[in-house]
Amino acid sequence: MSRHYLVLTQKTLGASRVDMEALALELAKVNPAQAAVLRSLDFVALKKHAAKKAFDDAVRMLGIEGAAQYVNSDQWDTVSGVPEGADVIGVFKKGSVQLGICIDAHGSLASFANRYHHDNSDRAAWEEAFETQYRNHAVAMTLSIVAPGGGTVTQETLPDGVTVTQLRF
Amino acid sequence: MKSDITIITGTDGKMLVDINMQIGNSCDTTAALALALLRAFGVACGAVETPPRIPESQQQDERLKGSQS
Repeated sequence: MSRHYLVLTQKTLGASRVDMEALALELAKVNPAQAAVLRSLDFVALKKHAAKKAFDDAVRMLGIEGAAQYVNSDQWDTVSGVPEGADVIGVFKKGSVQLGICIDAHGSLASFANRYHHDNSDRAAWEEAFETQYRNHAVAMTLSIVAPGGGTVTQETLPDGVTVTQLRF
Repeated sequence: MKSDITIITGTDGKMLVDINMQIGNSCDTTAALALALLRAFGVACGAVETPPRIPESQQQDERLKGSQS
């Protein structure tokens, strides 16, 4: 009889932890008004919005299933891979392989999964696709916020994979 | 003159930010806010600054001025 070991993994995507107050204080040295703008923004909500759009785009591009919740295996008696206090954005799914995306209890974007010790699934490619889409949405949202008095944001991904995001105002 | 901000993102996640601002708006403060927002989103951990560029049309004016003096 063989035993199957599963490990719960969690990885923060992008910068691990962002100290918003430190960022605001740094910005206040250049422009106190803009520091106030930064402080007024709910970044957990903004990140969640960008992550949801990125998840939907990545699912469409990868041509795999996107689920709302992580499904645990009864067969191997696994526990949930969802980090404690996390808000699940979505779960990439292909057969029995899953990769969850969440905003963790600290407000950071993270991926999570139950993995076998020797895991060579598609998860790394899914994570990369999600991160690329998230980055693009984050850049577009950044420019929308920065625009003094509004403007038009356009985004185009070139054949070589480079993405050009432009705000005109 | 219209203003524009362009962010070019490579496949490795590195970004190049190009800001052309109308006179009266500050490039520095706009760039500082953009960088702070990108860091808050968790997609920028640092920045590489390139020296300010003079538009080609103005460069020609500068050359003409130089030849007249």
